[in-house]
Amino acid sequence: MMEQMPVFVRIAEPLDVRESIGLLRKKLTETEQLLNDLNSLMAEESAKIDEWKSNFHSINDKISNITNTLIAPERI
Amino acid sequence: MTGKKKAKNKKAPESKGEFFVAINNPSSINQSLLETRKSVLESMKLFQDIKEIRNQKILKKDKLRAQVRQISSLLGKIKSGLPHVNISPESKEAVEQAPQKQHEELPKEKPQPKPQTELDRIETELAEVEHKLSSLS
Repeated sequence: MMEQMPVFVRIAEPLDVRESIGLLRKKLTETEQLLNDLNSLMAEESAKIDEWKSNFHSINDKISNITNTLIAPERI
Repeated sequence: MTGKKKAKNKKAPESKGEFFVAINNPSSINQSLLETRKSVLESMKLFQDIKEIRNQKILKKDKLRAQVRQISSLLGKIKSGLPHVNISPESKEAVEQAPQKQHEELPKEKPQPKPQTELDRIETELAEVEHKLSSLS
């Protein structure tokens, strides 16, 4: 029965506490937004790196073709 | 007449250090070279983009770090503004005897005597809060 009774507490400076809670909520929202932005940046970076890798392979192949053509000439 | 000269193949005469190669399809080689050059320039551009993204990541992480510090200080301020409630032994027993919902295992952790790093301090506080939450449920 004791645990069902409401507990009253005295808050010395309620306005300060309320203001702090409001600020805290705002900061949490901003932090969530920052985390979302970071997530997007990481995804974008990963996509760019994949593109870079594929580009590199393409350059490698082209250079191999050019090298093969120049180094293995036809005999006249 | 020196007999060392032997013309092996009927190809263009070799002068000092020059080597002539027959390219049957020069336009395709030219195209390949230009495409390769284009790919290299695209790679350089991609690298610049990646550098820019990494700079932005660093800025965001710095902001996040500052936000977390501010949140931590606000929590401390709120905690100091709220009164510390001492639960009496009788009501504490009543709470402990209430049927506990088993969400996760929550061992009764005693706070560590002296946390050495900031991380230890946060983990200790987190354990205390989790313990209090489990005792309320």
